[in-house]
Amino acid sequence: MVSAMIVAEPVRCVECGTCTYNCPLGVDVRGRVRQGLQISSSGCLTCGECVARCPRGVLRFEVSPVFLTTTRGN
Amino acid sequence: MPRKYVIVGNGPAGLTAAESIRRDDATADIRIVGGENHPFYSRPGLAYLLTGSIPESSLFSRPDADYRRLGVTRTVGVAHRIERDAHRLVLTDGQVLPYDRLLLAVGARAVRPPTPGMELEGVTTFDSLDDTRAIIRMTRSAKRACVVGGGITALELAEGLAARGVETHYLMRGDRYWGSVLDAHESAVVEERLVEDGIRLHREVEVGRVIGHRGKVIAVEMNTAEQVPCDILAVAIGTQPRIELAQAAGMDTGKGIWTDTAFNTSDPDIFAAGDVAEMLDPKTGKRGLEALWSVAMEHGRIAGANMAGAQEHYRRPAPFNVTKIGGVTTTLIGAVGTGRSEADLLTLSRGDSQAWREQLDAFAVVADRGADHLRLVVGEDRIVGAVVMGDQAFSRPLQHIIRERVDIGWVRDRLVAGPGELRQGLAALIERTGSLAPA
Repeated sequence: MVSAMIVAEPVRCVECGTCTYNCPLGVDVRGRVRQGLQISSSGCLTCGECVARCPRGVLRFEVSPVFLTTTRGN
Repeated sequence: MPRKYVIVGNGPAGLTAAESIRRDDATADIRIVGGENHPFYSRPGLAYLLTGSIPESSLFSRPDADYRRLGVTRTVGVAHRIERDAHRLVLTDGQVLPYDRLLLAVGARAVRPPTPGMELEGVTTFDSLDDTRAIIRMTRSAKRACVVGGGITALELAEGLAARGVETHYLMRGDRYWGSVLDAHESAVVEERLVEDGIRLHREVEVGRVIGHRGKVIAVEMNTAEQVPCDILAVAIGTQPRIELAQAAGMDTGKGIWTDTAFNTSDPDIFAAGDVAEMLDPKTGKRGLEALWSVAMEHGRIAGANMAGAQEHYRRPAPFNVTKIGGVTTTLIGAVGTGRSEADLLTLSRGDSQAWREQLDAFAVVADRGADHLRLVVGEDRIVGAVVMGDQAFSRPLQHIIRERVDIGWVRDRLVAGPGELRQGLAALIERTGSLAPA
């Protein structure tokens, strides 16, 4: 199960496309950030390439709510 | 009859205004006139194109299909004249565009100093995609480059040229990098990284003249009479709002086009937004310029809504920018100025804000941990500015705390007690304000 998801803070984004360029799955991360769409629903593997390479600190990992629920449940 | 909107400027303010107008006016006839023969692109991203981190195609974030979907016509052309009485915009190619509402989102252009030799081939600014293409082309054969200027743009130039294998010399008028905004330690961190990248720093020097041979730059002569041979001279001493169009039309202008907080100009049917707008702050009675992407987007959003009939006002938040300077992720928020005079910039550079230099009744406290650096500018009852270098864990909550003017009365003593207490005090403040922070 994926324990983390990638979330964005669009106000920091300058649309340089570094995230999209480096996504191994070809997810248009930049486009999703701009449109306010969840990155986690794009088939994202949470490999972290976009998080590590974004020069503006737009993206970060957050613990997935699903995981939180599971953890609490256990 | 659908209302005609003409937007001059195909940058973030212009395009966001078009989106805003379309949201509020489904039948509007919207046209964007842009001077560059490219689709919309990320100007801040040019730095990463120059270093080779991304290909050019990555910069085009809004393909023409997006314009079609939005129902916006994009015209490549240069605005020549506004005929205010007739409500017409005339382009240099003779096209005449009638408007009901006009938005001037024409941005700013890089300025060149009046130094002799600035017209030589090999002398360049770093202002546009065309500039960037030209620089990349030159780096294929250039052996050595000089960079003059300050702020983020000069640094991006130096790093980009070095990344492309060109021996790069950075000529600073001041004794350290960006001394008006960064403190001595912050400048030193950046300079150390530049030196690691092989960039040679020259301090307290000015360009006396640019020496050319057969129309091409071959060296820069400094005021010390020392010469640095070079094939490229890249200049980043600031940008100047493009006010000529408004000025010629008799509108009120200063450094930029004068606006109020609703982006009205002195003409009731003409609005201005983005880097060109010099907005009056009703609280301070002062006018100010900004050259930040996120600010331009917010300007555009509100200006567009108001053009379509809304009555929104821009609430100037503490400006912030996060970017890599000298390879170190750095966030600047609010009033962080050091009080030192501007050495390397004649005007505001891109990614810059006048507000960073504001001197409020406050003092700075610093905490360093390894490569991570935190500087808070603490006022009487709130934090007015911050610089976060390296670890960015504090940057997001600080952005909220500074923008929302969160009261720090209960924790102020800890924040100012010294470096050891600063991080803990801040962590306590963040924990308490956590429930207020946006998700």
